[in-house]
Amino acid sequence: MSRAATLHEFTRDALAAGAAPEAIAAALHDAGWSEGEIGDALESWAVRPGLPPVPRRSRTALTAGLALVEGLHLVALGMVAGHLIALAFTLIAIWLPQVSPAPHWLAAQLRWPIAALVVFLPLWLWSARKARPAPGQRRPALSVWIGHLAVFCAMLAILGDALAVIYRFLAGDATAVFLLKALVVAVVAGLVILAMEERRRD
Amino acid sequence: MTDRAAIGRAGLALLALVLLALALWTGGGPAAGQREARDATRIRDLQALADLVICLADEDGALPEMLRLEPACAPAPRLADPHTGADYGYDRLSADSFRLCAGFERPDTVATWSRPARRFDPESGCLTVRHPDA
Repeated sequence: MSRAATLHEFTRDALAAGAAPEAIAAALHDAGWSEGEIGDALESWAVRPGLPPVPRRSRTALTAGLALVEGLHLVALGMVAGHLIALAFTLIAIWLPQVSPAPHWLAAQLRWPIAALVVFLPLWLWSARKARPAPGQRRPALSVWIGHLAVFCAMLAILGDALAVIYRFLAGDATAVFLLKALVVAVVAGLVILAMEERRRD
Repeated sequence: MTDRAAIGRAGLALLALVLLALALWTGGGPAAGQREARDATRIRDLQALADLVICLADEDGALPEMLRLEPACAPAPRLADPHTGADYGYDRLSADSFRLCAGFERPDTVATWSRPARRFDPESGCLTVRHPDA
């Protein structure tokens, strides 16, 4: 029997014996179980008078349809974040050109990110809504993993951003344009982390 | 937590919408793309006409007085703007140089690739060419 199964069985037996959830939590805490594990175990059972502990469907089942939506959500988020940064970089290059006037072909570079955002921004918003669990239910583990993966990538972007800023500063080349671009990366990555917050905590 | 996630989603969506509006305003919509495509056709035609003039000069021994099609100088390029019907302009500037002009809509955005002895002037919308062997 796995550790998780042992924990769930103990919790069920304790609840069936009439122990208070607080007392069970304290005992598990003293035995070294984490807050998340304890909460997970207690939320797995509903106590009804006259009935043994009733198993809850604590997490939404991961169906093929939900996996499809989650996959689309992750891809759409990547496309939105990446093309948002590309679009902002091109606009900065046009408005604050390093050599004036800005090369004419820069305007043509706006079209691909525009097209990508028009397609993937609605898809991202739709998939976020579609993947939301029913009230009282939690997301499947895949959703939580996807949330962590997105945050991992966003944090790498922020770390790389900070590294580049410090390097350019030390090289005496931290221009206003560069700092503006670095700010764009940090803002987009920060918004991605915020947007995935509920998945990570679920 | 849900509120923070909603703020993140709304922030990203709002930022995207603002940048989309700015990008469309800066780069222009489909009409700008169509103008660029028409100008790209015109500059390609001028380059092809320059090849024709050089070929005619090689045939005649001097730059031609006016544009004409010659079977020996195939493929035959267009002599007029396909979008307006106006003839492309041709002027002999000297014994070894000439210019070809068209009515560009956005000459500042015309993409010209680097070719020796050919220079595009966005102000006049003309391609000035020097015959390399004259």
